[in-house]
Amino acid sequence: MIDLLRLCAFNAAYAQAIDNDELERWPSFFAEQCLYRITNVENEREGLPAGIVYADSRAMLEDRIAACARPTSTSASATATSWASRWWRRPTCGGAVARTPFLVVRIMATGESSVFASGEYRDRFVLRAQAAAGRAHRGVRQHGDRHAAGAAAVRRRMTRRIAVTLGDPNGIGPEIVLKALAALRGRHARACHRVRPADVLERAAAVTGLQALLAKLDVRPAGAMPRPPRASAT
Amino acid sequence: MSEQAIQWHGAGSPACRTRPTPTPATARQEQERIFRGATWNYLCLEAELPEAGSYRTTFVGDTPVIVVKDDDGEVYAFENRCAHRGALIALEKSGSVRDFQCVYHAWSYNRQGDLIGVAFEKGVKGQGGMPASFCKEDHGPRKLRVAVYCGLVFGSFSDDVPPIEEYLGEEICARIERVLHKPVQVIGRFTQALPNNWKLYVENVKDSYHASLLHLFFTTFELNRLSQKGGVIVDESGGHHVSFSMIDPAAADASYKEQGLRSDDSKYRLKDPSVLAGFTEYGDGITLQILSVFPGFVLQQIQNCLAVRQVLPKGQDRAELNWTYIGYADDTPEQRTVRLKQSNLVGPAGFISMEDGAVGGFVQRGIAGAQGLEAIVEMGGDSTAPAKAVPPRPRCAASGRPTARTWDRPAGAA
Repeated sequence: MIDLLRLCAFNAAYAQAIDNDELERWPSFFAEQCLYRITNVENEREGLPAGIVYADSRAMLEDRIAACARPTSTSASATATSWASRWWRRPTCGGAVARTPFLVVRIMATGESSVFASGEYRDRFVLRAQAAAGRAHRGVRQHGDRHAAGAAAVRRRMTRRIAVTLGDPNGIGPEIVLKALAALRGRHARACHRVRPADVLERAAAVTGLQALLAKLDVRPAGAMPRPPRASAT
Repeated sequence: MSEQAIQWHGAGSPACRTRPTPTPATARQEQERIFRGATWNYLCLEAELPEAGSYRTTFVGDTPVIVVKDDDGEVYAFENRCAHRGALIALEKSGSVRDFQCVYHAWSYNRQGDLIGVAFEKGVKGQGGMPASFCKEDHGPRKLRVAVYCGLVFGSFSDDVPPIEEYLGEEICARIERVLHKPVQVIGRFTQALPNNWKLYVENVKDSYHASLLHLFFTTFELNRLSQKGGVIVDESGGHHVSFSMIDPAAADASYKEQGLRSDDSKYRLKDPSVLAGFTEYGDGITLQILSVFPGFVLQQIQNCLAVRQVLPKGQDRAELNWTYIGYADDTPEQRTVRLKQSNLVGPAGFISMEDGAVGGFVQRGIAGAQGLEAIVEMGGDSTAPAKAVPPRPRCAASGRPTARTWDRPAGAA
């Protein structure tokens, strides 16, 4: 189910991908068969279908990003994106339609900031699992202001991940976590992975008699913590 | 005020002096001599004025203009400036009206631009009002001559400009008609802000030399290459041009690769090549035709992607490019989708047109300190005869000098 909180999390991740210049991640916010269009208020009012960007597949969005990397489209600048989901509804089980006004500020190498684009995302969200099962809609129409090339989006894929910490390795936290994991069923249980550190959990498993559960988990030693894929800007 | 003409060194020399840096004085002269001079300026499409009362607002240079269809089926155009205090008469970009009324003091105008109503013309309770000698017919916004050709509405402030077909010339007319041979529909309108003087954009349109060198997309996907069959035609006035080319899949060539040109990148592939998928709709094999009409009109056919563009100056160092994307009224849904997808090539964020929007700014910044210096603008000979595409005399042969000459002496002006 998609609720406002998840939409906000999505928009935050979307804005972060753009502001961190991780543009190669941008197409992944969209369904494989999407409709992405940047237009202006006048065209929208008159029902004119063209866009300054018009893509009906995620692959077309990937081609857009590939073109950005070409030497003739350069810009020494960064962006700061602000957004707020103000309106949303769930027309069908699992999907949602939302409108999210946005403002993109461009920060030039000289330090000067200016409004690069303002407008409203008109999104149709679908959950990825349902999309795979053949859900009809994905698509998004987006509104940019006049010549502003805004980014917009729709997307999908909102697998929820919950991190549970063990607490004090010498306390009862590790045992509680293991018992909680043992109580999970079905796909929730499968969603659990990468548990660490191994030595603390092994001790807790011995205490709780849940060694069998531990064997099914991807348990890693404390020293093997992977680094985040990319340090975020500070 | 001193006037600086662009000077040529004579036959055989490829250089000319860089255009004088635009000044407020030259910008004013351009408005008066070019835009309000003996030229035809594109206003809108006739298809955008579907019925009596339909109007659009636009500009001729920086002069705001209203274009409107009246009950007689004719299109009229007049300055969008109230005769009273000079306020805009129409504020919207388009609409439908019986009459126009200025919001400021409610003076009203009919669809032909005549002043027909003055609020409290006779005063209030016998006091005040306009003098008895006041005659509404003598006051009104300036009217433009209007000419409609193949669904394109042109307007002129000049009484001396020749009729539109004579102004365009036979060859330009034929190539406008080639594209606009049946009713069109607007499928979108966009504005591209150009960070440069308007003339740099117009010159870029006429410069077919750059197209396959700047635009990686054109060259890599063989949409346009100088080695393709095609040509350039410049009309007698030097003001208008057509360049065209034909994709010939059988005639792949290695000339770009051999010169190591950036724009031919064999590693660049599209994940979704459907953006370039198209269909044959013109029997002549021409897959790209770019046509310009002096001073600021462009008609574009890139495969199935059709558009008209209007170039408007916005001060000395900025310009506005107004795009109107079109399809034919009898398009099938599949054909319409092809046009929508191919429109990714053009417009403010177009794979091709975005680069045209940028290079004008690069030139403008590059020549900032170069007043009086020379630039090489000519290639392929000094003749203005139509050029056929046979390297090593590229198709751009005729494009440089006539363009520059036109700034000196507007088409149709003595």
